[in-house]
Amino acid sequence: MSGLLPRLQDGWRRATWVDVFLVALRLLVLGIVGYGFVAGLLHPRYGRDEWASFLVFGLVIGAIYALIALGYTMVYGILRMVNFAHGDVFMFGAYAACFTLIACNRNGLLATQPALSFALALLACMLVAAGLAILAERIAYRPFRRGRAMAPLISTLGLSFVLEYSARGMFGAQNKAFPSFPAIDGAVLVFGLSIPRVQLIVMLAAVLTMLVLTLVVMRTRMGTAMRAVAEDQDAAILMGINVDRVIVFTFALGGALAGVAGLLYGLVFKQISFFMGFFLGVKGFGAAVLGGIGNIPGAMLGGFSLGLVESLGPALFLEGIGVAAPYQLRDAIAYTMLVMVLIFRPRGLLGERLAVKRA
Amino acid sequence: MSSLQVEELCVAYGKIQALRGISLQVPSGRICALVGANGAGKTTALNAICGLRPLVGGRVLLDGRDIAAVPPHDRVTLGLVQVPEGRRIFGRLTVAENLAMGAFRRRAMRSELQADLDEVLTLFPRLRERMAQLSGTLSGGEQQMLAMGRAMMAKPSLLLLDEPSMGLAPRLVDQIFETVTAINRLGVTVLLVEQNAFMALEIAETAYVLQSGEVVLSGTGAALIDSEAVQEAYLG
Ligand SMILES: Nc1ncnc2c1ncn2[C@@H]1O[C@H](COP(=O)(O)OP(=O)(O)O)[C@@H](O)[C@H]1O
Ligand SMILES: [Mg+2]
Repeated sequence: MSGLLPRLQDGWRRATWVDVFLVALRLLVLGIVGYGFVAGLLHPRYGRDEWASFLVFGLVIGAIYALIALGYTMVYGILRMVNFAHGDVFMFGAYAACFTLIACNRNGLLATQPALSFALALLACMLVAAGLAILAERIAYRPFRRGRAMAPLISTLGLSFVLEYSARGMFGAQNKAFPSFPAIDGAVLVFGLSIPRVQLIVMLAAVLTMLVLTLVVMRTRMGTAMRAVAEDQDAAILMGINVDRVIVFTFALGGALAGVAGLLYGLVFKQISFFMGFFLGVKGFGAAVLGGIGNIPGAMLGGFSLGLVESLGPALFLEGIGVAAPYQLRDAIAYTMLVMVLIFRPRGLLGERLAVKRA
Repeated sequence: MSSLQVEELCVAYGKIQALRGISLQVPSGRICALVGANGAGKTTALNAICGLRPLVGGRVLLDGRDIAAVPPHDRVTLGLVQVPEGRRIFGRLTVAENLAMGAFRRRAMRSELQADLDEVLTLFPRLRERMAQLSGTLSGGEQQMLAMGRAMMAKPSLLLLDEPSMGLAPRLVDQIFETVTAINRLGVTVLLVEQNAFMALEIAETAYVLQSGEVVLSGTGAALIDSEAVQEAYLG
């Protein structure tokens, strides 16, 4: 009945041209990746140190994607809605951190008390981003709660533009330099590999943040209520849970994480701009979808996978094919992978099959 | 213990009138049954009492006080707690977490909550060894026990039960009905919705028969069991 041959025959009979095209596309991409991989191995261009630095950088940028992805995924888990202004919340978090560090630099705190300055910047970016996320919920989501499903998408998109152009007006259209910090300059030797100190700090901070988030979601009363509301709003109300308050809490939590991501991004890349929320927002959303949107460990896994593919991909299989400027194609690789994974596994890496909605 | 009084309750889904002015009296400390065929409006009535459905007309009085102004999530703090149809436990939360959600609004000492938990686990011993298990993996009977245990963690003075015996094996059905009387003996007023009309009428002091959104019959449980209308409706 369910032998391979009959299933293949059955599948062939039902196949449309689109299916044939998709299968061919998969084989083609797999072929190119495989060829590039083998060719790259035959003509090794990079040594151990280069590979290690690609790997570490992939984990660093992946951690930042993961922090952003968590906000998308938590809000989606509860509201089945995407907050398109989330990337700009991240951007404002980065500016808040930047101005705090500049202020610390001006009064000398940054040089004498780097840890305190870092803590102040962390506090500022989390507060500003969480506040903006709460604002986004109040003005772009709550008024449309009982309306059509498309309304909040459009309103958060609108808010995204409002935030971007307010940032442009307030902070200027040019890139803004993040203050450099002697305490995070230089490199450290880990297992005989030289790794930039800033990357280690950023990774540590990101992993700690995710650990704290996991504890909040899994171990606190509010975190448990969040998971309950994500599963069944009416049942949660019957338990006395104020769903509005849980939603606000979720936005604030996601916003705070995006704020942390903003600080870490600034530390790694040394400059920020009013427009970066768009690019990083798309990456974070992609990571959330890749991991299975609505799934918290999925967002973390999706972020790290996206970061690693982006960082290792060009060296791993584009060089081998002989692409002239492989690093220009980083984003192309990232999105290709996203599409490929979703073709093979529409619900994402850790996502569950979309349940039939309760009648 | 609380008393519930429902006066001329009207509820509509769009243009469809689901409840056409029903009135119920649930005296303090009693078990009251609300029976009726599928689609009669029983679930709608319980949801309207809890505030999940807006009222088109009528009033809901808890201990004589109109609760229209109390938002649904705050009604739990008045002692009004529902075990919804289909159990609606949180499947991805553990049994312990589900029980903790029942006590979400309690501002009690840890020791008091622990004592209540022990009481609930005495009522439903099967849950004790499954505290760390994800509730979605429980059997249907265990899920119903969890749903009732979760509600008990809220310390209800009035418990609304929507078809607690639905989909359970006969032996488990008996057990559920026994538990309902046990809960009532603990001093909780019960409004029991059932399709399993005869068993519900047996344990209920007062009862109402609902048909197409209207109360067509009411009286003591014993009187309704013998009434022609109920015999006809349920025995054909
Ligand atoms: N969400 C809904 N939307 C529209 N109509 C509904 C909805 N829920 C229930 N109804 C209708 O209201 C009536 C009463 O339903 P319900 O209260 O569920 O009955 P019962 O619990 O007695 O089986 C039925 O005719 C049903 O079709
Ligand atoms: Mg029903």
